Amino acid sequence: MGYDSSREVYLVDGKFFDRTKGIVVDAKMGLLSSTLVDFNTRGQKTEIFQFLTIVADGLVMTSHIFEGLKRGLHADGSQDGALLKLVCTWKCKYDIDWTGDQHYLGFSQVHPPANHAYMVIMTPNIRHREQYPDVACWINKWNWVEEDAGLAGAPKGWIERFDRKLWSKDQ
Amino acid sequence: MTNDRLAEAKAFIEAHGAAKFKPFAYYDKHLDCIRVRIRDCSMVEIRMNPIFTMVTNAQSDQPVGFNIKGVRYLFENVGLAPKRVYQLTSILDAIAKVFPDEALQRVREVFKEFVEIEIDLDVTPALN
Repeated sequence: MGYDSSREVYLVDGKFFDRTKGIVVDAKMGLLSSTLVDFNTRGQKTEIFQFLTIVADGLVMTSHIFEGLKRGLHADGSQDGALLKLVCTWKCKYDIDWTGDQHYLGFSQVHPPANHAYMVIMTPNIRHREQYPDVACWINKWNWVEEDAGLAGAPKGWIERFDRKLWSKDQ
Repeated sequence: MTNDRLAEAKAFIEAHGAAKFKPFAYYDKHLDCIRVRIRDCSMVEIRMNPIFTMVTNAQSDQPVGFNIKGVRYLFENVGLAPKRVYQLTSILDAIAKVFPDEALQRVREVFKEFVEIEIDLDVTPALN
């Protein structure tokens, strides 16, 4: 697998809550290549590595989907941008970090932080559906979070952080 | 599978020139927050309050950054213009006048060496 300079959008297999059917379906989540270029310009290699490994392989193993960030958020031309956000989390079995291993610019697989889940925040693709019909959601952010003691694979304090839990894999 | 993915990441970075990391602050328009990072590493985000999130090194727990959330709403409440270059310290000073609490004090203490970082802020709505 190599770098394709013509690729405008990275598509990642993930889980999407289809409101019309009330079920979770497999769907493609997108990230503009230009976003990764911005990360690279800032020297954020770890986030690039984690997107192309942890997110690319892990998003399809989502354990929980939440909706709505409980805070004021201006985005997408809307003062209620927070309500539109979707959050997917799962218990990832590895981390990707800088170790000095010279094969991949010093990055390699390491043990995940104990008692943490991996979280991806996304925005449903509403405004650009015509231009990008394959993209169900746009990926905005990805990182580790402390894991909830009562709900495995969920972020700590998820009840206070999000408006609602849409789906859990084991329910 | 992971090695293929690592190779792809390496190829992407090398194709665009592997920029050296240095501490920065930028406005994430998709999530309406300011992100401050002082180190490139695997990160854990820890919510401190509705305004601040602490970011720590996933392997060592050392603080490596923080986020200021709900920027447009916050700026309206603390009287800051939405489009100009700011020093981080001036944003924190403005927040302190309206929302002083332990989270702000902790952020100022932990990142006191980096408060003069400049951020070119354009808090206009994202398109997606």
